[in-house]
Amino acid sequence: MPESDADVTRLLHAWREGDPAALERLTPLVYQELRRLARRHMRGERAGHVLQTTALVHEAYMRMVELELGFQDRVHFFAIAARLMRRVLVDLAREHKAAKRGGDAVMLSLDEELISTLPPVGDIVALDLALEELAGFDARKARVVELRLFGGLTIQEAVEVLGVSHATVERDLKLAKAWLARRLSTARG
Amino acid sequence: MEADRWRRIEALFHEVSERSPEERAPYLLAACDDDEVRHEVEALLAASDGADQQLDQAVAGALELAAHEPPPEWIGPYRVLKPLGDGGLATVYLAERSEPHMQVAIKVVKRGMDTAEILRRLRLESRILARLDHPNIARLIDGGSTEDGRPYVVMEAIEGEPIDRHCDRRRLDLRQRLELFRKVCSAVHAAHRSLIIHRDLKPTNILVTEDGEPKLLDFGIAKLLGPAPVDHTEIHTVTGMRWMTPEFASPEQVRGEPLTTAADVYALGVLLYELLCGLRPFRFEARSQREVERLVCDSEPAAPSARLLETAAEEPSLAKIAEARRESPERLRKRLTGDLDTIAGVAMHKEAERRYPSVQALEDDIRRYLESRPLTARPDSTAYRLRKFVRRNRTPVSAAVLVVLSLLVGLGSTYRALQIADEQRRRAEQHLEELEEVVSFNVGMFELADPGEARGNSVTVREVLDRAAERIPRELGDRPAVAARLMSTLGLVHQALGLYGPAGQLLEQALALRREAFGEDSLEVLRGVHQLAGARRDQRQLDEALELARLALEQSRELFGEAHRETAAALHGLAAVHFARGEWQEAEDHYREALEIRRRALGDAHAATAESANDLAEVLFYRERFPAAEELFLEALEIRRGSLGDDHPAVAETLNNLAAIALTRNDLPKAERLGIEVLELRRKLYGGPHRDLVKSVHNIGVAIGKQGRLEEAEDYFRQALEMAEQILRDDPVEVGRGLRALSHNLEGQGRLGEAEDLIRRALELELTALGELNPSVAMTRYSLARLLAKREQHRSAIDVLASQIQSQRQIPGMPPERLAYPLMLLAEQNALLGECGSARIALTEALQAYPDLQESSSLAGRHELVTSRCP
Repeated sequence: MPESDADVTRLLHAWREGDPAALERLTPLVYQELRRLARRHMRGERAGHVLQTTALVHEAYMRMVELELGFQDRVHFFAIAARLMRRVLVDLAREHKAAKRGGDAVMLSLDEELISTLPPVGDIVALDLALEELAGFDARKARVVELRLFGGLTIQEAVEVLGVSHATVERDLKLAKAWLARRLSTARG
Repeated sequence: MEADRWRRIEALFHEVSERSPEERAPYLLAACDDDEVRHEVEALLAASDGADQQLDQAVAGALELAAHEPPPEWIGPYRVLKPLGDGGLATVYLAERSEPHMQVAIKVVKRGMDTAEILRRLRLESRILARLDHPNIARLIDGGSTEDGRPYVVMEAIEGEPIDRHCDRRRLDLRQRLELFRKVCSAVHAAHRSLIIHRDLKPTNILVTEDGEPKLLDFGIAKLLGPAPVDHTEIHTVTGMRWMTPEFASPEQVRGEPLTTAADVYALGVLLYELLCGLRPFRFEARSQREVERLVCDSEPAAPSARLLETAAEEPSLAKIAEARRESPERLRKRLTGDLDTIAGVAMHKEAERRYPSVQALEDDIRRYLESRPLTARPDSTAYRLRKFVRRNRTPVSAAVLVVLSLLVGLGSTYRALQIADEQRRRAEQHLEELEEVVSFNVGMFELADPGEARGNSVTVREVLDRAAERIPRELGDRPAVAARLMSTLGLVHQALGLYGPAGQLLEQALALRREAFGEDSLEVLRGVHQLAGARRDQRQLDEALELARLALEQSRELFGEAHRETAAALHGLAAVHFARGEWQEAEDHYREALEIRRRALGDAHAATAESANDLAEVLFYRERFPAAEELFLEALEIRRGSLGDDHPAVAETLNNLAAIALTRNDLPKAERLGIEVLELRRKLYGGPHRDLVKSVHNIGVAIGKQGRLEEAEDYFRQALEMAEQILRDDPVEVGRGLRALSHNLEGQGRLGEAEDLIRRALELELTALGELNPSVAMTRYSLARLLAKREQHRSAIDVLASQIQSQRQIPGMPPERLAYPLMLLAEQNALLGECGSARIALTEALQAYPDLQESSSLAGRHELVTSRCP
């Protein structure tokens, strides 16, 4: 049985108070919840893509944290969730990739239109690798993108997590996104 | 990357990106002498624009993928190798069993989809498969439930490829294709004998193995005929519709009616069609329920031999198709013409009772063909087809067709025929019933006149018209007066059908003939000029249209004087050209003058008076003088109802305008109600696609969209656009309007990328057709800018706004306060970039254009943002 909601709240607090073990226990809980939500999320309801990761993270928050937390605790929950969301998406994409391997010419009663609508798995994995590379020489920029793209944090929330100015977050985000976009395009060739 | 270099790149990137696009390159060159760093910064700047979208897409794609279920490792005793297909409710996997070793296909209901109804359906499928034992049908092997209780069926795994691909890859000739097709028929027939209808026959469900044996698969939506157990009955009607494949669905299937074996005969007909000519009878674009219904139920496909000549860009070329059948294009067409066209046509007949009575009968005819014996099937007679055409199209097309039919009876008695037709047309508008009788009579004559026509492919109106157009100059060269009038009529028919290109050509020829026959200063030439002006207007050749319309007015004034009805008609025509050019002031003046003359010359209750009232009101509407417009629309409606009756296109037009007024009042339920009333009336009047239907469907979309039902509205907009693209290809303005509306709708739904693509297409179309100084172009630019702003591409938004504002200032007749919208958006975008100088200038100009701009909530919001960022 997973730990109860009250535990999540307590763990968040404990971690903020400086208990590193709390994060270790918190992570799998949030990961599982995000994974479950991502899997359940239906195709077709798409209204602005970033919003969807935001929605998932917020939903996870609502489900896992029963008590109303202060702004800081909430922001830190989102910050953890952003990293885990990234992992969930990459893991799920890798699982699909593994499943798609093997066999080729056999066809059977398949609705080709449907199978061909599966999005390519390359993008998210490539994005993950590019983020890793960026983190290698500019960790903060990689983190800004992660917070924004996977956790849906607002600029103000990112300011809170990273402890830098509003303008810096905006500038970091702009350059980091440009760098990633370029990296992805050149990688694809 | 070295930290040092990265810092330099970062600093330069930010410095440069704050500059305007023109300043960037020179600044960068001056600021940095390291070529590599400079290139890197340039590349980053270039990537920056689309970066948001690109990254969002990667995440969105991953999210979408996440929603798909990764395959299980085991299903019962079978080890899963890979997924083969995903069908919404169920997934099909390729799996293997070790003892004894064999590969199978397993269909498992998806998690969460295991409702009672779906489980029943799967049980039914296994029962059906268990009943079937035929070498050309995939066998049922096993069934069971997964650990979490989802049922599955195990079937023979077929190694093969879809029949269409198989035939093309192996380059089977027609005879080999027909032999293969006969085997498919025998499998379907076996199912029918077991009282099973397949209901989803299509190439992907008919695989051909390496040794050339076809295998029928997927009885997932099949139906048991006859004394079926009671609990299945309701499933067919519900799921049958949802699961059909539009390309292969019969009209009765599309309409959701009870199905018989005739539905499978139809699908086999489509399959045969495709195997023969490499193309499918219908091209669906939106695949909406309405489009499918219209094409499958109402429109007559070309015969396979004729379809070969109309391949679309996305389809394989004629040469390729022929090569895959080991024929030359010409020979292939010849071989299809006649018997094979007939067999496919009869199998695919819209009316189930006119198809082959059984699959066996279809197979028999193919055998007869292969043995060069006469077929049992007969194609529909031309008379049958024309009667059907006229039944479907009613006025105004049918009146036009009458003329053409009379033409084809033989031009020897043409002049008399034309008089009859004129008389018929007049009566036709009042008595539709009578019209039908007249038509049957004429059709009879037609058939007598040209018995050769009763063979082979369908006669489309278009073909009939083309043929008539060819014959007029050839056979009436010595009688220019008659030829001119016929040619004009034909031109107007083309125009009514939305075929503006040919209409223009015909009316141009007609005018030349009129000049020859009647001399320059004659009523006939005046009318010819007037008609050609209208055609050029519709063709968007607006300079020539203007010249002609002015000429007509001048001639009319000379011939008849200022206050004559002909002069009023010429004024009206000139106004319409100005309106099309976006010159609203001139349009208004001329319509007003035409209206006054008509009131005096014809009276207040005349249909022509109503026409001017209606069209003048349209201009007033565009100039946002709504109360005045509404008053005139109401007057026009009353006159039109009185003089033309309730069921008339002109009545529908004015009702439609009143719906638009309701929209501007924000009386949305009324707008929706009126819109639907108009749509129903127009459907009744036209039967098929028509430009007026485009407008109706569009307006309903607007009314529904404004009530927040965006997805429902999207459906209407897509329909309108699809129809516009189909019948109004010559009219970029209408198509542009459709693109814009759909774009706005998608924007509202947050689908910004799609919205931007559409609006850019619209802008391109409108710019080409209308040039810079046009109100529509200005509005489209504004939409594009707003979208870019939403996507945070502030620089691009500013560029677009600058062009819009510059040209909008020069468009005469635009309400000046309209400028406040682009100006405020410009101010906002500049403010967001921190360029307060430019922001303040734009703000001041906006306030000049529209001092009370705070009245508009969107403008007020922008105003607040600008003043807070740039105090």
